[in-house]
Amino acid sequence: MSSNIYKNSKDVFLDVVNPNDYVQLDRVSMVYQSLKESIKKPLKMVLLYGKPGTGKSMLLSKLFQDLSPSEEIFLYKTPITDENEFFKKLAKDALDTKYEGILNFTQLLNILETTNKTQTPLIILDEAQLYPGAMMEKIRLISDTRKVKFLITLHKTEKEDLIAKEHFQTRIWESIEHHNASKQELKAYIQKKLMKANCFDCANMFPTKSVDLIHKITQGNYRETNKLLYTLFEIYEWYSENNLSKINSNNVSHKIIEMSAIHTGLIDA
Amino acid sequence: MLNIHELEKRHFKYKLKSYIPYVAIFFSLTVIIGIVFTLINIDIFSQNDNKVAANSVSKNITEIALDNTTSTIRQTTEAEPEKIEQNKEIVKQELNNSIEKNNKLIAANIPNIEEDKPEIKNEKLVLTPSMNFIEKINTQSSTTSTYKEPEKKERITPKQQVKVKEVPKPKPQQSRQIFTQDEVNSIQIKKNNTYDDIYHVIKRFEKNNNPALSLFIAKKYYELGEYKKSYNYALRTNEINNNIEASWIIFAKSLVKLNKKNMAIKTLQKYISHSDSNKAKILLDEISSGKLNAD
Ligand SMILES: Nc1ncnc2c1ncn2[C@@H]1O[C@H](COP(=O)(O)OP(=O)(O)O)[C@@H](O)[C@H]1O
Ligand SMILES: [Mg+2]
Repeated sequence: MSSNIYKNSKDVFLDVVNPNDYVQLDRVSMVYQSLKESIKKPLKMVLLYGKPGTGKSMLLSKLFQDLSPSEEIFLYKTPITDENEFFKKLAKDALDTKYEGILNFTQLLNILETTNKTQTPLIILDEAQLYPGAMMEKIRLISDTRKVKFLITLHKTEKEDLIAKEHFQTRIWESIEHHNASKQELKAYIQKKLMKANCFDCANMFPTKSVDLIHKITQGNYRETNKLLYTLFEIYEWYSENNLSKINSNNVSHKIIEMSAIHTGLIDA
Repeated sequence: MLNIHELEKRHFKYKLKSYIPYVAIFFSLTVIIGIVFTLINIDIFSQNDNKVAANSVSKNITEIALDNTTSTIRQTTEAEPEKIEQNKEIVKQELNNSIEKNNKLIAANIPNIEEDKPEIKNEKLVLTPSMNFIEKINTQSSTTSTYKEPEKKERITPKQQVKVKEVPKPKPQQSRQIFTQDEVNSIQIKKNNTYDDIYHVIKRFEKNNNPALSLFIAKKYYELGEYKKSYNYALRTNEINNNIEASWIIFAKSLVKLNKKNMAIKTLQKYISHSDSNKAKILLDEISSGKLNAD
């Protein structure tokens, strides 16, 4: 195989969130479906949580891409931690009101009271664990007006679990957890991603045994798997340019999987 | 950029490291098995200070413990007579050591009983393995027709004066369990076996302090006429549990045998006063009426 193939495969595993790269996986699709249903219900807030790298952002971007043509939906990929900025953006998006200068919380609530939209706008907040507690509280009060609803996405760590509990326990009507991939899902993930990029030869390099090894190293975490496979194809690329004899292109070499894990720090060595 | 050569080296080290646990497990298993084996051996003769030949000798002692048959095997390894002699010495020493130890232990527990000379003599007589027979074996060989070990390979040539048995190490067992017919009567063999039994029970007792064991030892010693020892073990039983009737009985009987009739009577009276034991009453009668006496 030419080194070009490896280069293309490598790029498949760049850590970027692009809804066009989204692949359908059993559990991911289920979460996707339940999210879709939840946001259609007359709920004030929906919570999506899970460990970093489980594909929450990817899911949100996919949801946003699919729904935005038909719904009033807004995705805030990175937190706007300045209150004034946040309120102004909210007013502009959800209320079609543009504000210069300062918009404080009371003013925002007043405007919200007076608006009368047929469709409740949905604001998706990614990385919501980064919002300060006081601001989360205001977001909750905003949702209480029922003029906007929120889909809030959190990393699930112990500390952030606390935030989730404090602020949402009683107010969230629906919370959905996102998980790492199972072995089968991981296999599907790797193969589908490579096939989507027309890297068929490389897609066939991963028998179940090799995927099991990868799963052992990454625990099925999508981000870690991306890192690992990116390095893996980088090593393949190097070998194919410098030392062809060292690689067997039929099946992925476990040695190279381990070398990639060492390089990315997933294995201590 | 990737430094593949460096990465290959790190991977090689990683692989080496990943074998370490297996190697470690293998080695520790070997060591553990080794330790366990030596412990088992040492356990049999834990009071053994003679470290020379400890392994071979104590191993053979284990066999003695297991082997309660009174088979009289007479074997000599003529090829290495000095070696046998040497081993005999070791065994003798060891037996004495362990006996001495036990005696010390017991003595420590005796409150105020004077040493009973004939008793101790007797003890030594019985417990010290007789070594004479080895000499006899070496000289008066052809008279021995009693040994039967067909399954073990022996070469017996018609003219052979001495039966030769090929044993890697001469068994110290011989020193304890092998008797020529003319030399030892069967009672003594039985006695020696009882000592073996007691010895093992004592070992167990030292470990778990179970009064049932010490009571057993007391009874056995009493049967063997070792009254001081039976007195002691009855006392120890009593220290652990003072509600065992049999331990009071043995205690009192031993006292009588040790010429402490008055003390025996006092003890029994005390016991009867708060236990109302019939056996104790009967024994008290026997003692008072002179039915039970010091030998
Ligand atoms: N369903 C999916 N299809 C394709 N790629 C995915 C999918 N889920 C996760 N990924 C990949 O995994 C990486 C990490 O996912 P991400 O959504 O950023 O995780 P999170 O937001 O939970 O930390 C992304 O770069 C993305 O390429
Ligand atoms: Mg994310």
